[in-house]
Amino acid sequence: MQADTAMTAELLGAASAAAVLGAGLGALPFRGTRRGMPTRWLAGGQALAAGCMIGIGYLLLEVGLGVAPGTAGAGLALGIGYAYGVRWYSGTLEVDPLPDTAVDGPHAARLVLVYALHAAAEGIAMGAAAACGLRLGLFAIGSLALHNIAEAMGLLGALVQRAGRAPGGAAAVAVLARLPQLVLALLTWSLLRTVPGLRDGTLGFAAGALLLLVLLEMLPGAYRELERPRIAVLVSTAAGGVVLGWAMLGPAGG
Amino acid sequence: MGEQLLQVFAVATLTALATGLGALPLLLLPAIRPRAIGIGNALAAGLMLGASFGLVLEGSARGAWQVMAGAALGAALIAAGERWLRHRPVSFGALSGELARPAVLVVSIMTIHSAAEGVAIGVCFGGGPNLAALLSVAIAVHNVPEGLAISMVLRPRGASVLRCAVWSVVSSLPQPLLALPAFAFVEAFRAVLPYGLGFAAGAMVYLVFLELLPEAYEQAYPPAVGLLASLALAAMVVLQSWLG
Repeated sequence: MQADTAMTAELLGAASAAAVLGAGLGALPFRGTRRGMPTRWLAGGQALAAGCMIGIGYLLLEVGLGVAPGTAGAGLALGIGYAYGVRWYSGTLEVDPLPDTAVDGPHAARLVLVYALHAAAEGIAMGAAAACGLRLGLFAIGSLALHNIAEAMGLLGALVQRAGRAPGGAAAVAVLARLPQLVLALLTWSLLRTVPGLRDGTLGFAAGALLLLVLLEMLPGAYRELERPRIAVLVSTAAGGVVLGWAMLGPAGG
Repeated sequence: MGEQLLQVFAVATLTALATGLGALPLLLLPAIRPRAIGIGNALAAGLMLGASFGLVLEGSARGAWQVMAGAALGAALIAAGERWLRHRPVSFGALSGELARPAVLVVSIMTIHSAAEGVAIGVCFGGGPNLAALLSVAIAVHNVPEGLAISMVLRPRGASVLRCAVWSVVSSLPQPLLALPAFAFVEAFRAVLPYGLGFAAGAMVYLVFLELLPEAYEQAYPPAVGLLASLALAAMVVLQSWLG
């Protein structure tokens, strides 16, 4: 990979904040719809978001494995263990992000926790990518910002259609649940600037966490609501789009 | 070249024969729990995703655009093949109508699947022996639960265990048959190698999300499926990196 210019704290903060706020755009389809969003659309959004995460996970691994395969590989396993352990410890292993029944207060709180824990792993990915340079950082944050819109629709669907919350208030909650992205992106980037030796392991760690979340959390509910071929097309297209986008916009293509 | 073709054919035939091992548990157990098949599918999905990561990594060094074009073609071909087979009137041996449909669908999809794997094996032999060896092991390992899945459909409909094993192997015959032209094609036209690697990756990724993962979620505890598939993916990626 060619040399990339360094990310700055201000730019990272602004880009991550924009990505977090982008989650609020997921509320737009809920405004003015009397019967709400079909659950299959929400499942399609989850599949697209899952594909984006697979693509980002691949790119992080490509960089990490290219420099230090052993360290990145160990980080990959640790990331999988971390993401699974956090879900197990928090008692949210079986919380479905696309609930198909009514959602009461405690259930809604657990859903918000699931989305916040999910956002924390994505924040680590943003920070790790930013530590590799400006281009990869902005590309990863931009991709995750787009994925935030599709993914937030799942939480909004649960809060608006299953828990009876107003779209505006639900959008605010969706944005708040994405805040860990901003915080973890800045923390991870700062840590890796201070201790550069941790970078390749952290790239693997972030990739492992993203892949585990896709396979454990996002896809089971999506398959329940949408036909397999549609899921396969959406996930494959989104993942391929991210990899192709980096080939076009990254150092090799730009 | 002739010796290499023989080597490709032998390896691809062994991966095909491994599918027949999937019928063996039916000899030992009076009833196979769907959960075991789900776990097998989860492991296979992770191994195939990890192998696909390796294919894309390998191909990207030769041309990222070409890899993605090949991946799109591979996924589209599998999607079209699966769609075409799903809308045909079917019979399967002595079975017909509603009894035959699930059997034909499973064997057909597994056969399309193994065609992609045959292409992957052939192309990977063109990409280097390490990648080819890893992919062959991955495909052979994941062929076993696939054979079990086929057997689990056929056995309750009256097929003997031997017939289950034979149909399982037959479903994987495209592997040696397609590995040869794929290998020859790659050898003759090395410039199209990234297309070929992308084709195999796209076909495998599409099949993972079309068949293996959804079946695993249905047959086993979804969080366990997610964890096992992720760990299998990680193991495959680390192994590939370790071997360079």
